Amino acid sequence: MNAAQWLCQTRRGVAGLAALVCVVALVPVEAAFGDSGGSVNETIYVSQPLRSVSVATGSGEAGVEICSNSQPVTFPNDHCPASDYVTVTNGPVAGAIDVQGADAVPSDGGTHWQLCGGPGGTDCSGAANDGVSEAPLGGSANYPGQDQYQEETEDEGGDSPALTNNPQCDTAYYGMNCQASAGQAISESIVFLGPSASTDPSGTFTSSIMWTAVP
Amino acid sequence: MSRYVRNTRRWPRALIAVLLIGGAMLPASAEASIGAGVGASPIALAQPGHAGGTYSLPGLYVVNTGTVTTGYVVRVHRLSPGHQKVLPAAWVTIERNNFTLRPHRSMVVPLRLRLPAGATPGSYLSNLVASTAVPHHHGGTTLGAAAATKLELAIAGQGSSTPWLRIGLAVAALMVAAAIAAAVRRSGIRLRVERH
Repeated sequence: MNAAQWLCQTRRGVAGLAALVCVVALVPVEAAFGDSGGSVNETIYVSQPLRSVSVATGSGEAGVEICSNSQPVTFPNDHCPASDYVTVTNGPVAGAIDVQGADAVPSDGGTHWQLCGGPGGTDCSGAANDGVSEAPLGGSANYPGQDQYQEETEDEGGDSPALTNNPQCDTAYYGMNCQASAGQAISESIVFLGPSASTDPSGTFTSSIMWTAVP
Repeated sequence: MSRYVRNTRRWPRALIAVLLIGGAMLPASAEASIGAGVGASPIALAQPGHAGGTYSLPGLYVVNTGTVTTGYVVRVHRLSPGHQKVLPAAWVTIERNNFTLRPHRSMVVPLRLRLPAGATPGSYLSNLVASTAVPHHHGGTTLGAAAATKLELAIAGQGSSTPWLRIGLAVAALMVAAAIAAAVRRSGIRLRVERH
């Protein structure tokens, strides 16, 4: 008697068939994804493309000074260029480059200066643009108010939105729909517009700018 | 002899020239940079996940593409556009984080996914972002680099994710098998399969 005969002729066959159906139906799906024990793991390393970005300054420092010891920020609304330009280099895979700013934190950890006037960010609460003085950054209607500041990255093309605390398309790549080609390097300068006044009396504030390669 | 002396006197000049040219070229080639890189291939669940399930994800390959030793932080944050639902960061456990890499060194960061029991079926998208850790600076603006890759998954519909439905199907299959067996016994029909 073969297996098929056994299955068809006996009750045990029916019960066995039913048990098989039960087992198939009740096997946890997770087991099919390799979380079960008793197996031997084999790792095979495969070369894969790399998405990356590198940031360098002309001086080789990991940061740039805004204004300087000899010419510190004054109130209200001092314009300052950074001490150095920044070269942003996309890696071997084409993609978008985002840029994001951050609060300026005083050395005593007190009241931050917040970024304002950028897309989707906080509005600047200072005086309205009078059209005579140097304009607020990023087309903002107002200058930064107390404990607010503006920062933007510019390439030779000029006009760009002000930075916010959220990632946004790097303006230097706007002409290419924010897309950087493989290995593309662009030099950018950082422009700063200070607050109308500062609650915190600290002599130094620290902030950061982050560039991100995004798929 | 005098010719030899003249030639050796030329050496310092040549050496100075080489050093000057080298020195002029050095700043460009020795420019320090910070960098971050990740594997560009999306990290995805091979099959649709099920609410309440826990899964191992492929690790995130992180590499220091800069020229200085740098600290890195990995986080889940949606940056890529798309119609998919935002994959909540709380579903992903980054099993190794806040690490330091020397230039051109890499690390594979293990990842684990835990889908809550009430997770809504559908397609989800987020990004795994490896950023240089921003050091506390004495003032000014600190620069950072980050790289992101896609994190994609689908959660299967309730039908296939509910264990009670599978249990019900199994019970129904049992009942059908029992009914067939009873019918065969009552009818007296005997099936015989022969192989020639």
